[in-house]
Amino acid sequence: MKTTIYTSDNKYSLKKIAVEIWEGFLEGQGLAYQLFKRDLKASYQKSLLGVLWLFIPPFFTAGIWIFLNDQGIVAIQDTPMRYAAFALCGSILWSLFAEAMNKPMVRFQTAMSMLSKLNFPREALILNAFYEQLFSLFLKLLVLIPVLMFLGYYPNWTWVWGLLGILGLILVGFTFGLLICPLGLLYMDIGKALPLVLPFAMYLSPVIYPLRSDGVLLKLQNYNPVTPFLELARSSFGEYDFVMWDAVGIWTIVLLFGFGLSLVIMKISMPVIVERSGF
Amino acid sequence: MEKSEEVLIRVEGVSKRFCKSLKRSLAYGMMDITKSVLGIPLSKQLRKQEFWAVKDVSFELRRGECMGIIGHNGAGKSTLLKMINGLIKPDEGRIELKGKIGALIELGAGFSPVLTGRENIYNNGAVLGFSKAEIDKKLNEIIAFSELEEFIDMPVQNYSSGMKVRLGFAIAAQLEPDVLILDEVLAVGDATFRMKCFNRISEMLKNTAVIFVSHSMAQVARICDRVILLKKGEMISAKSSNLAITDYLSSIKLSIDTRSQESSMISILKGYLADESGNELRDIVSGQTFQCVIHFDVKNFQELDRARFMAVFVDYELNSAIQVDQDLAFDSNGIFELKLNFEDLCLKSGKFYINTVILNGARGEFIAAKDNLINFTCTHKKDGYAPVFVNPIASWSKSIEVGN
Repeated sequence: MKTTIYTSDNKYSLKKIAVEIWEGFLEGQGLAYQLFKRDLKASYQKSLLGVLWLFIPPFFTAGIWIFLNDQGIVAIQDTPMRYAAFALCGSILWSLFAEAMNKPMVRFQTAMSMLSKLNFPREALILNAFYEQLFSLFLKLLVLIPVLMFLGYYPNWTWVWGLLGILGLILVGFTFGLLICPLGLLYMDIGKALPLVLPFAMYLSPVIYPLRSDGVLLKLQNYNPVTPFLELARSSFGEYDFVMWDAVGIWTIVLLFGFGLSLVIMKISMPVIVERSGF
Repeated sequence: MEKSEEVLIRVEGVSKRFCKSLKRSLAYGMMDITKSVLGIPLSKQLRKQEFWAVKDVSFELRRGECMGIIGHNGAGKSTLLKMINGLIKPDEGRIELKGKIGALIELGAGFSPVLTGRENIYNNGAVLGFSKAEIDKKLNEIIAFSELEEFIDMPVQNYSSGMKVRLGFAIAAQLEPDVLILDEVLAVGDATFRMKCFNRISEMLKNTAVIFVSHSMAQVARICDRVILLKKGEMISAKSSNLAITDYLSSIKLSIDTRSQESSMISILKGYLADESGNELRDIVSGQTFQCVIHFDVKNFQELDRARFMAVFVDYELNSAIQVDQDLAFDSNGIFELKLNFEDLCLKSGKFYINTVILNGARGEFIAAKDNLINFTCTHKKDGYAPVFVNPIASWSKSIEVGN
């Protein structure tokens, strides 16, 4: 029979925690999928446009930039692919990262009353956020691919790199999203700051303009984990040369480590957060 | 109930501290997380504005045993349950649980209001740890238990709160845990459904170790083998349910708003309990002979017409236990003393209040009243939860007809 022990001890064996997290993911699969189905069904019950809402925001962003560029108001030149395709790709890819960064915290916040009353594998919520992210990706590709084809970029095998780039973007988002989770669940400040900071970060990153080769933005770009993955994905869709392989390699290692760390931190901090959740 | 030697729950010196200020509590939270991540041991002292919500609680529970936790609001019951359920960590001590743990704390967690009852069975089931296949198998049983066949394909937001809880309980009733935690869940639904829940729980009791938190002493007395009483987080007593309940009940300080109404004809002056020789009594032992003495001030006896005096014994849960109805007829004004003699009155243990009223006229018009005229504590040696015990005259005879 399984023995469960809770103590006041806060010395954790990393191995034991890793096993617990792994088991949590395994046990939580069913719950994660069920919650995903529930939210999907429920979210479009009370909406006239339904699923369309997932497509509307990226089209808007891209549309604005295409329009501004056509009118010559902002002069973005030398994009390695047609600007419409470039901006659409950029903003959709960025939105995947931004969603992934927001999702874990929002997921835990909405489930807080459940978390404070029932003991279920907490990892189910992370898995659930991942399922949601994959679904959102699927919908976005459904828009992106026809538009790219219309603009003259046809699917080919290099697009597989694009998918890897996208997975990288989601990894960046989840890692940072989970790392800010403990602070963000205790204090409201993070939740308030994110919607302000993320759009700002987008304009500082080469999303709607091509990679920089000088200036302050170049420096920022070198320390930005989003850029290499975003560029990897976009360059493979747009069939232009990708120059940031080193950055992709380094960031992948750093992020995988960071993601593991974020899971451990979540595991340790959850009881402390539940205690103060007010439910 | 079958008992085994298998200890399923072992709680050793468990304590939990809470902070009175939210800002500080959040800051302590951040500090604790940081320290735990870095592997720095936490101090076990109280920090500024902290207090012990649970202090040094220990007990063991075997399979087949049911333990009640009682105490006033804020005594630490829910905090203790949350620690046992693994939702929050103890600050001191150790909790060891064996086998599958089931908690009936919130019924219907995970319900989405816009989805149908049927869909929500799967949602709540998943939260409780059932797989889809398990729910498929139990679906009909769940719907039948909830008695919601007719409405099962309707969105849950159209359910009444009672219906939601029924569905929630029906799902949770499918759990087959080794350790079961129950927090006030039997207070749901209408009387018939409550009975059904109670029976289901009694069935589950046989093979589990149960921790039961409730404010209903009747329920605690009925299903618990023993009870721990918590007071300000500390364990005051751990003994047989009857004794612990008596401890708890005698610690209740009900300040009932005393309604008092006087009339120009008559008023109720005072009242007390006395033993056979007339000495005043504070407390009684169940079954003891005692007198209830009440003084009236009759001011206008001619106007009293078919006047009646009523006394109602009310228990600590404010349930009426006994009613006394006494006709009043006076031939002059002045102070009168009424003695009501009780023999063999077996009240349950706990605190009682006597509310009194005087009615007058053909239609029983309410003219004077005094609530909480007398209050006293009754002690009883037997387990029980009905307000009054009676000792009917029993006789045995051997029946000639067999069977039938």
